[in-house]
Amino acid sequence: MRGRKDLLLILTGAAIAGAAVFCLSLYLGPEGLSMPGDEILRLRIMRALCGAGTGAALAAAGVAYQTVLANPLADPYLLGSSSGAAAGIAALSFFGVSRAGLIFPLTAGLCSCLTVAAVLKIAGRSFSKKNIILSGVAVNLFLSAAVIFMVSIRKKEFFSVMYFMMGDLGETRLSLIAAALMIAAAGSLFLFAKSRFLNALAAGKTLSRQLGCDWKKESLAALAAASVITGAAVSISGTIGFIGLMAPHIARKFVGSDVRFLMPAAAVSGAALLMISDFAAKNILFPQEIPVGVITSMLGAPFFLWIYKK
Amino acid sequence: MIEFKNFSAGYTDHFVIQNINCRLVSGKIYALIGPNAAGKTTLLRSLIGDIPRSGGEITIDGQNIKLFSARDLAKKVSYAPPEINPAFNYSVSEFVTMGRFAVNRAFWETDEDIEEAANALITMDLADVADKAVAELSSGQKQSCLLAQIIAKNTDIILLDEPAAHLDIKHRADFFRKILSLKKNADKSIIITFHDLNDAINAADSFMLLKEGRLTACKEKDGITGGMLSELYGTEVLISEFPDGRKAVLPRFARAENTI
Repeated sequence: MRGRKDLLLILTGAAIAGAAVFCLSLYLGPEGLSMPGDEILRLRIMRALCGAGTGAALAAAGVAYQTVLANPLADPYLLGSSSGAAAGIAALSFFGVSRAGLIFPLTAGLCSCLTVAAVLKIAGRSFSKKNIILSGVAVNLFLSAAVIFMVSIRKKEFFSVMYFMMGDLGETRLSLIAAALMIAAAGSLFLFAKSRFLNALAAGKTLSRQLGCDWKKESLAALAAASVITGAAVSISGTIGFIGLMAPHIARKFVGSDVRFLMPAAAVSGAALLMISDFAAKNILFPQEIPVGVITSMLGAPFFLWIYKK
Repeated sequence: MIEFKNFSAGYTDHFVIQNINCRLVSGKIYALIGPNAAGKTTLLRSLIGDIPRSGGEITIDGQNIKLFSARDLAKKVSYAPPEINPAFNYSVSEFVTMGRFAVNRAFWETDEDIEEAANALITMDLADVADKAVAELSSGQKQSCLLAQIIAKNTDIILLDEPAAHLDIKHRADFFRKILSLKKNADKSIIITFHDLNDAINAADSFMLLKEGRLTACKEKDGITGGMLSELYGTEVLISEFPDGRKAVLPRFARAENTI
């Protein structure tokens, strides 16, 4: 059995890898490695923070969704959790609430919780893997349409449709970033502390009972935490698909499925994956920038099919 | 000791099993048998509180199981489903060690947890595949994993739901040999549902006969006759005994020409 030492080793390795990608994203531009000016460096730091924070948060939520539902296909985006959060944010903006502080991430988290609850309700009691994804995708489409509807009515004072549909790591309000990342970190730490409960839940309802885990209570708590984390991530970066699907699977290849090791490894994978995707989004068609969600979906959708076929 | 008092249970208001009354003692293997859809699995899963509706009560050592927390119940009762399809690549040793979660919920396992799990792996001949993913194992080995997890938990009551359904004759023999030695070495009540009555009559000490949700008999093995099984299943069944004490349960396939 692996123990504390292995976790320390994984954390060290992950921290080094994460820090490397973070630093690289500050100094790597379209012209290769260079020392950027102060203003550009400041923007790049913000961008890297958004990318790393959002990626890690989506990955942590993905680990929780996948493990609790014992469903390798689960992901904040496919479950409708992200678009629930986006709809909450769009509604706040629609009614003219200014975009700062705690209210955005918290509202997004709440809407995300409600959406996941609705999706699971629609999918039915048996929690079948395909039903959950199908109802998630349908709810996702519906909410996305609702968001575009709201954006269309109030074009002027709104951020772009792109932000909602494909994500945007250009957020620069430090108070919003700080609030969202703190919420996401608190949620992730809660899930990490519950690692062994999540392991038991991954065995399915009946087996988790025989392991002494109150299935209903524990899965509700974990799903709520994952949804709040997703809401926080969406409130700074919009809906970015498939990070929460890919990062846990990549991490599983390296550290296995035990959530105690998987959660930190997946968070770093998610952070790195999103920062790398963002780099690609900025530079593939330079000087034109494409939305980061285009890159993550181009990688993620085939990845989804690969997991589905496996 | 387990006691069912006028116990009924099901998934809706229509109960699948009804008015069960019986008393099970420790140190015995009980065979829970009956036709398909008689409610065998419902009865087993009621004992781990996994059936949504129930009436009457089940007591363990005199205490109503409804008053137990999920964790306290798991410390007394273990349940193995007929098969498992793990969603992720948990290793055999991780899976077996999970059994200790019912006992110790700290973030890390204690040395005792790890030792108990290691012993369980050896008991079930899984030490060689300890680092493999459970999902990659054969059905027989998956059943062994489930039993190893239960051995690591070390509960007084063990429920096995058709454990041999997917095993060939050698693995079946190995499996039940281990169940018998488990009973012998530790004073446990083991309830097993059987698909194959030959396994049941050679492994169990007592029989619980379940038909259409009702318990029609709860008897020692010697009290079970071919006639009772014939009536239970609605087809003619014969029990024959070999000189070494083994028994066989035989259905009749061909229509007899000159029955009396």
